[in-house]
Amino acid sequence: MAQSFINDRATDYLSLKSRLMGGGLSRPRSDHFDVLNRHLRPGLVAPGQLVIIPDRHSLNCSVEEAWLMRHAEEVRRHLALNAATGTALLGNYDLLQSLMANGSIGVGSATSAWARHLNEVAQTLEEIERLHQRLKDGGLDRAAFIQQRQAVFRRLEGQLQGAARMGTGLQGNASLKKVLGISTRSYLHKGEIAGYAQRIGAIAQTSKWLGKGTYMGLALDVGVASLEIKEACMTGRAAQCRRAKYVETGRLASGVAGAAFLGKVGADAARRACTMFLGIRMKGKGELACGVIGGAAGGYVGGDEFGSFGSFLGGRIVEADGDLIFLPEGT
Amino acid sequence: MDLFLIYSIVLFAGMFVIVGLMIFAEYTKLDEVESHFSQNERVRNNKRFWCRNQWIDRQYRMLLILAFFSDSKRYMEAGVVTEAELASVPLALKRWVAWPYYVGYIWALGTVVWIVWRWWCDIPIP
Repeated sequence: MAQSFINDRATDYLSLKSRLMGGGLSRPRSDHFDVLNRHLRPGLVAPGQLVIIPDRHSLNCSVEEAWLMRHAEEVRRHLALNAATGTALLGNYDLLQSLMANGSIGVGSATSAWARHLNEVAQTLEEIERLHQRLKDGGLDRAAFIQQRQAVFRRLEGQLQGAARMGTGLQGNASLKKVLGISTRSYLHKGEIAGYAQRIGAIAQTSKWLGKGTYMGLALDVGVASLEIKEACMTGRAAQCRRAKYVETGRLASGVAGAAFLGKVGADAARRACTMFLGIRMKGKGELACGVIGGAAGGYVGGDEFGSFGSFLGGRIVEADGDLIFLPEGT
Repeated sequence: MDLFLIYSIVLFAGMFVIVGLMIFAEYTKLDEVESHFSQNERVRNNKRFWCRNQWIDRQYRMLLILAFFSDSKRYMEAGVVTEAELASVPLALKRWVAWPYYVGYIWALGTVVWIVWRWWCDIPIP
């Protein structure tokens, strides 16, 4: 099966070829490599380029190799447009990976809380619309309408204090009535508040996507683990590849469970600390914010540290004659 | 088998058990325990906020109930919860809410010991 990898440093084509294919390469095999890697510059191969290693058992071009060639060509085109991209990406690869990994539950905790907050804002907006509807239908007299709307506006103001406006699309310091474009006269005339439904729809949509933060984070964690395994299997020997499978699978399973565990404990610990120092009746959503921040921090630390657990134990598993053996003395 | 490895295995297995217990309690005991606080304003607001019934919603709903049990005096003084509400919850149910977290704190401490031990003895991670 053909393989590919991302070249990590500027290197000349011929030494790259001999490093990957070994010395004493036969003419047909050498030509096969050249055909698959014709997107590489003949002299120097830039960092970030996709290098294709042909199938060692066949000299014919497979469908898979054709697919890899198409992608390698695409990568070359992108790098030609901005040569610095490849180096920058490779330079920050580990940083990007560490940001992506271990974040699932922590990210999920924070984004889910924000999603619920936006949900509340959307519900309050719907309540305003229902009040207008009741006024129009004659189910509410004007004085009661004004009184109830003022109460809902006060709640909305509380929900939109400072940074809490983020994601609602309700920016600016103008009065909420102006920001929302609410006019009772217009509602009574047309039966709708201009752009109101779209606004609520947009907030609900943002909330829905943010609510999927945990699953997105989990997908990233799984992606990082499989990337690590793939990297080891492409560049290393068979033993390193097998080892990476156990280590990275252990890290993933333990990291996700550990993030969930410390996320819960962290949320409780942070809430306790906040109520102890700030009191039970904290202003606004202080207690909630404390819990969510604690949950996110606990999730991150849990993912990282319990991930180390899993990889430590995974690293002690070896495969001998098809059997999995736990090797306590270490390898 | 060296001591560090035994400690790691116990900590590793225990963590899964505790997470399992926490999730079990959130999915099977939460509704029952919340029914004892059906008139409580803080519980109702919290339930409305975390309304989607995903695992994270249940987690934060459970955390508020846990706060009532673990810090009951402070919450009663603040008028957030009444003694009658707390007394109405059976002891077994209270244990299902609180104990997984209490054991969780011990395990979190165990994790700190594991980190310090590994750092102190310079034990490599593959």
